[in-house]
Formats: sequence, C-alpha cells, structure tokens
Amino acid sequence: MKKLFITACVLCFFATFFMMLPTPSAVKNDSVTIISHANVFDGEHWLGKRDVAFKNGMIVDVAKDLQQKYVDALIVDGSNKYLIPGLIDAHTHAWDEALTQAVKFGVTTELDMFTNNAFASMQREKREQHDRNIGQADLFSAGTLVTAPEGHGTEYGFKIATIDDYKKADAFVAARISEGSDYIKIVYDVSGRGRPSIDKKTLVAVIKASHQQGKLAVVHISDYQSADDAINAGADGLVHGFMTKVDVKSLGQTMYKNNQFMIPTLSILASMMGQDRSGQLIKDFSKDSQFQVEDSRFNIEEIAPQLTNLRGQHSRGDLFKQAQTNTAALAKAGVLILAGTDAPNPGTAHGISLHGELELLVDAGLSETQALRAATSNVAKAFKLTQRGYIKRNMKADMVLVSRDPAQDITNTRSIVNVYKNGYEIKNNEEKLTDKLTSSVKLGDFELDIVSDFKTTWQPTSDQRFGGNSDISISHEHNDGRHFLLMKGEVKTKFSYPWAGAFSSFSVDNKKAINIEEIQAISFDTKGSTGKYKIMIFSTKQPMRPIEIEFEVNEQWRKKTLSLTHIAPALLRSVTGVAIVATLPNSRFELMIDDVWLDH
Amino acid sequence: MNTLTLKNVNSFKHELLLDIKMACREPSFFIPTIAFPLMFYIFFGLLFSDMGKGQTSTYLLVSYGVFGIMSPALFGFGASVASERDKGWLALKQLSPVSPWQYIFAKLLNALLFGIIIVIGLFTLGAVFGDVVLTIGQWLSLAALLMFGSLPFCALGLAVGFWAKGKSAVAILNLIFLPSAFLSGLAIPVFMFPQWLQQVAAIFTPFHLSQLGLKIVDMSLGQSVLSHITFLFITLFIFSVIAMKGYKRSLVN
Repeated sequence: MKKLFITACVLCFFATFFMMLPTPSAVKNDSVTIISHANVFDGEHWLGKRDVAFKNGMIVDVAKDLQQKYVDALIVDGSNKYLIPGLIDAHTHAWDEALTQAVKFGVTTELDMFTNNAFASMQREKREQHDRNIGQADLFSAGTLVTAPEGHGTEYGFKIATIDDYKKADAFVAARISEGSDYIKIVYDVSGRGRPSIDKKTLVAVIKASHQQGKLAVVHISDYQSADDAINAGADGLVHGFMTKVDVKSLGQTMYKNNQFMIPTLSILASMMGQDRSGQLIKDFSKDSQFQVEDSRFNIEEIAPQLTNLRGQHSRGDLFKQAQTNTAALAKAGVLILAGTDAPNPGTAHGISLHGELELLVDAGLSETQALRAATSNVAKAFKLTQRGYIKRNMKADMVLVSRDPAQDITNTRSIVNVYKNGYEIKNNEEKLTDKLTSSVKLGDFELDIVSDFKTTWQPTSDQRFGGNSDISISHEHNDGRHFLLMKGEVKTKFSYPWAGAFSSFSVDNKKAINIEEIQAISFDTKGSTGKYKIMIFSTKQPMRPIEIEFEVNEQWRKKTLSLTHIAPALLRSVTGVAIVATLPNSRFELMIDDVWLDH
Repeated sequence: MNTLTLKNVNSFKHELLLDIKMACREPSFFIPTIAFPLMFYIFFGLLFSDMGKGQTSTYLLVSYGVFGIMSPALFGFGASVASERDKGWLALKQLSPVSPWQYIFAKLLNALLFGIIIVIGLFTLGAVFGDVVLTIGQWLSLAALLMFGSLPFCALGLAVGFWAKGKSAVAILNLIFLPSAFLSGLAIPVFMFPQWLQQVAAIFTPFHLSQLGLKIVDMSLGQSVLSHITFLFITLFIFSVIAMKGYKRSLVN
C-alpha cells in the first residue's frame, strides 16, 4: 500500500512537473476575424444577416451576434453587404499567373481540365496550406487528358501520352494518377468531325478504370450523341454543354438518377458562336464603374484583349441559344449544373469570366441562387471537394464580400469589396512561397524541340560569363531513330574552373527558384566523347558554387541516374536550373543527351 | 547468470538504497555532479543570454542537459566501482547474494536518479528564467533522450572503473569528461567553432547526443539522426564489452 502510494506520488510529481513547463501558447495568426452582419449565402441558401468568424484560414463559426463570443476578434463590418463562398471555376486550364489573376476576381478554387503536369504538381502542396497567405486560387487538376493519338489535346505543341487501345485503359489511368491527376478527363467525340477520338469501347474502359482506381471520370463532348454515350458509359460528368437541337428529357432523367453533372461552359460556347458580352464585363471591372471598384487591382487593361471572342462577325446566336436551352432543360430535370468557363481559351480569362458565366446561366433560365450554387456548393458536391464551396464551420475561409445583392441581379457578384483567401484579404502584397515539385518533371525528350516542361529552352552555357574562353554550341539533332540534344565544344583553361555545356532553366526569366527537395535523382540517356562530365545544379542558397555531380560517358548510349539524396535538402529547396557540362580534363568534346528527367 | 527474481529482489533493493545513501553521503560526488551543470547553465545560459529571446537558453538547456547527465553516469559508475574495488567492497559483493547484474543495475538506477534530478533542475531554470518554450512532446522527448543517452556514458564509466584503480579512475574520467564535453560543443556551441574543430567534434559521443537533443528543438546542425544514434549505440556496445572483460578480470584477481 505504502509502495503504491509512493509510486503514485512520484508519477504525480513528474506529470505535474511536465504539465507545468511552458508550451507555445498561441499559434501565429491565432486571432479571430469576424465579418459581421452581412447577408450570408452559405453555398446553398441565403441565411439572412449572420456573423462569420474565422481563424487560421478556417471558418470557426457562423451565427447571429458572435461578437460577444469572441471578444478579442477583429471586426469587419459587413452591414448592407453580401457574403458568398469563394467562387469555384469548374473548367479552366491553368498555368503561369492564372491562379493569382483568378483570386482577385473572387475565384478561390479552379478545377483544371488539362495542363502541364509540372505546374499542376506544384500547386497541390499549396492548396493544403490552409493558413498561409498564398495570394492565389487553389488548383485541382486533371493533369494530362485522355485522348486518341492526334486527338484533341495533342495540338498544343507539346507531346502528351495518348491511348490507342481500350486494353491499355488501366495502365493509362494508373499513369495519370501517379502523375498526380486529381480526376481523369477524357476527350470523346463521335461526330467524326475534326480530330480523331477514342472509340466507345475505350471510353467505357477508361471510365471503368478511373472508378476502380478511385477517381472521377469527366468527359469533354461537343454534341448530343457523344454526351449520351458518355453518360451511358457511366461518366461522372460532362465538362462542356452541347448545341445540338434535341430533346434532352431522357438524358436529363438518366443524369439526375445517376448523379451525373454538367459543366456547360457557356462562356466558351458564346465566344465560339460570336456572342460577345465582354464589353459590359470589362466595364464593370474598370475603374469608376457602377460598382465603384476602388482601385485598379483588376488590371483590366491587360485582361480585356483576352475577352475578344473567337468568331467575330460570323455570329451563330441560334446555336448558342440552343446550348442555353439544353442547359436549362437539364437543370430543370434536376441535373447538377456547374459553372465553368474554359478560361483562358479565346474570349475568356481567368477569374473575370466566371462572372460572365453566372450571367449566361441566369440568362439561360437558372435563378440567381441556382447560378450561385453552380459556382459553389454544386462543384463541391460534384467533385467531392471538402472544405470549400460553403460558408460553414470547418470550411476554408475563402469568401467574397460584395456590396450589392446577387440574389436580385447576378451581375452584382461584380461589386467586389473584398476577397478572402485562407482568411487573408487579397491585396497585392501576397507572401511568395517557393513552388515545390511533387512529381517527376521532364527537362527534355527533344522529340519536337529542346523545350522543358517548364517551357524553357535549353541554352548553351560556358565559363565565358566569368571571363573564361571555353567554346560551346548546342543543336537539336536526329540520328538512328532518336532525337537528342547535341553539345559540341572545347574546354579551355583561361578560367580556373572551366566548363562548357547546356543549361535548362526552371523559369523563363531564370529568376524563379523552385523547391526540388523531393526530387530523388536526375536521369538521362547520354553518349559522346569518352570522359568525365558533370551535372551542375544552381541553388540560390549557394550562389557562387553550383552543386556538382560527376558522371562518365563513352561512345554508347547509356542511361545515367544521378541520385540527389546525398545533397543537403536546404540547397535543393531553392533551385533555378540545371546544366550538363564538360569540364577538365576534357578539351574538345561532343556530348549527346536525351530524355532528361527530374525523378520524383 | 542471475537475473532479477523474486527471491533476491530484496538484496537488490538493499543494494540500490545502499548506493543512493553512499552517493548522498559523499558531497564530493553529489555537489559537483548536481551543482556544476546547473551553475554553468545559470551563468552561460541565463545571465549571458540576453540576445535572442529564448534561443541561447534553449540551445544551452540541451547542451548542459547532456553535460549534466554525463557526470553521474561517468563518476557514479566508474569512480565508485574503482574505489569499491580498491577498498575490497567489490570482492565482498561478489561473495554476497547480490548478483553482478543487480550490482550494475542498482548503479544504473542510481545514475539515472541523479540524471533526473539534474534534468528537472535545468528544465525548471530554463522554463522560469530562460524563456524556454517547447511543446509538451519536445519537453518529454528531451527528458527521455537524456535518460537513454546516459547509457553509453554509464558503459564508458564502468569500463574505466573495472580497469583503473580508484584514484586514477577519477583522474582518467576527468580527462575524458571535461575535454570531450567542451570539444563536443556543450559549453560553447559547436557552430561557433572553427571549421576544423567542428570536424573534430564529430568523434566525441557527447556531440552526437547533444545533436539529437538539438534536433528535438530544431537547432541541430542538420546531420542525419541515424548516424548520431549509430554512434551512440557503437559507443555503448564497445564500452560494455570492455567493462565485461574488466569485470571478469576482477574476478580472477
């Protein structure tokens, strides 16, 4: 008994001691912000006047009079204003500054339907950073789309994988998923016009494979028959509307029954059919507009040219009207309609065009509230997105505060007072995070050109920039059924550490650094003059001295995989580019390289 | 080879209490053992650390923690074994019902007890006067690390204790203790050393233990955790073997 007591006392002492030690009390940005007395649309319904409290990037409370509950909260007066969830554009193609542009217009999440993998993979990390001031919209991406050889999607000047046999569906989908695709986008067209399409068998197989591997399968179609095939094949949704004059009743019933959705992308259809409504849109976001936009944050002068529509004079208003009629009919049948613009295709631009899309949906026959759902909760439901699309507890603090009532007139979504992303007001002083690579990236396969996944061209590099006298020239060559990059040069000894070779930058201006700490190795095929060569990795953390890895080359093509795992992660967190070079004791040399990859 | 069984658990208890009492009755052991790390920490960690809020005091909390647990481990073991052997105590104990494992285990617990006292003292000083703020997980893992981290030093002390004579054991242990502590960067942080000396630090066990501790508070030099752990295990293994050989030799003599 006594022993037990002593043991208990000792344990108690230790427990108390460790409990009393000081621990970090408050997480950064712990303070609560409340937007008070705004008319709140929660993604589904108008709630009336509510206070919305958020902290660390998440909504913590939605109720009347929260100011007593959170006494230290920072209060933003929302009286006579309207608060809606951050808008979601369900159909875009995102790269470069797309996401920073989108967020200024209140689009806080974009669903991309085909882009460069390197870009998409860098955004996935960011969308998990709920409490950071990232100053851009979050991105979900299909990555590479599923299309036939020479099919739609192959025409943009960079090579993508294609599928020519339904038996390859499982492997093809698995490859997309391993690249990081959040869902699978399929291009399907039975019309026989335009580019080749996958056949129905492949369509069915890819949809089945996607579902087996736990991903949604969405289908690009442009006519009724293709839409009907996709729906019957079990697609989760259609990512375009169609302009076929047809009774969509039975299609609508099937879609409603099976919870299949449609993203009509009226914006791009309007552009294709010459329905130009950009004038009002541009005006509404210009300085001194009816919405009293306070400053030039929308940068409208730069965006306006992108809104010029595709067709010009050859207007086909009847066809566009049909697309709207079909959309309205499907909506009436209960089909989930999602707002998507297909930005930045001609006639559309990131962010701004979603406001146009909402107007086109209302014009088609949806109510204002239905249109708002199409850009918020409907997208979250359809794509099973958590934490967004609603103003509710435990959702991201992605919201748009507008000064006029969008339930009265949908164009009032343009009266933006403030956009909140992760709880931060969108201004022009956003914190810059270094993009992090979270999947493999191709620096060059040299099939068509010598451009990397980062859209940068391989450049000759030598010690001449430090006063050396080594020579180098590089060229794109074809030999023995192989395309490759050829370097020809001579290493001369004027500079103490001479080199000559080829450089691939990670950004067009070579100023942007990228975090490659998760990259395991650099791999490539090479042959050339026998000797030792080097990979040089340029880290901003060590500006005067690139990280160097040696490798040997001889007259045979060989695959080299140079591991980066022994390099200090701190150096790899900020890398601007990679060079493959010859150094001493080489003098005159020829070096060929092919299939250069950063392997994740 | 005897292990702890119910039959002789009493003799073990006696042995442990005896050890603790003996340590407490020897001011020349417990005063420097407990007071030095706390005193050094007050001087260098608290009084001279007005730059960087809590940074220096956190760093030195770890390094003086390592410094602190080293001395009971080395001296409580090594010096006491050697002096007990000199006085003939060891021979007597080898005849008594106390098994050799109990003898060592009692000393180990004794060393850990002093270690805990030092850790609690340091944590209190750091928390109250040094602005040290850590998560509960960091506090606990640091304490656990320091406890387990004393094992290699116990083995080292034991090895010296079984091989060296009483007085010379103390001298040898001091020669090991102070230089290795300083060169491992326990008094002055290792990143303030010149480059060549930083490389020298890597051959000392306290360096590796302190780096693990600093890892917990995100202040390590960033070397691999595994290499530090490996180094500690190798030290533990080598000196345990040497100590075992020494014990066998003491039986023969």
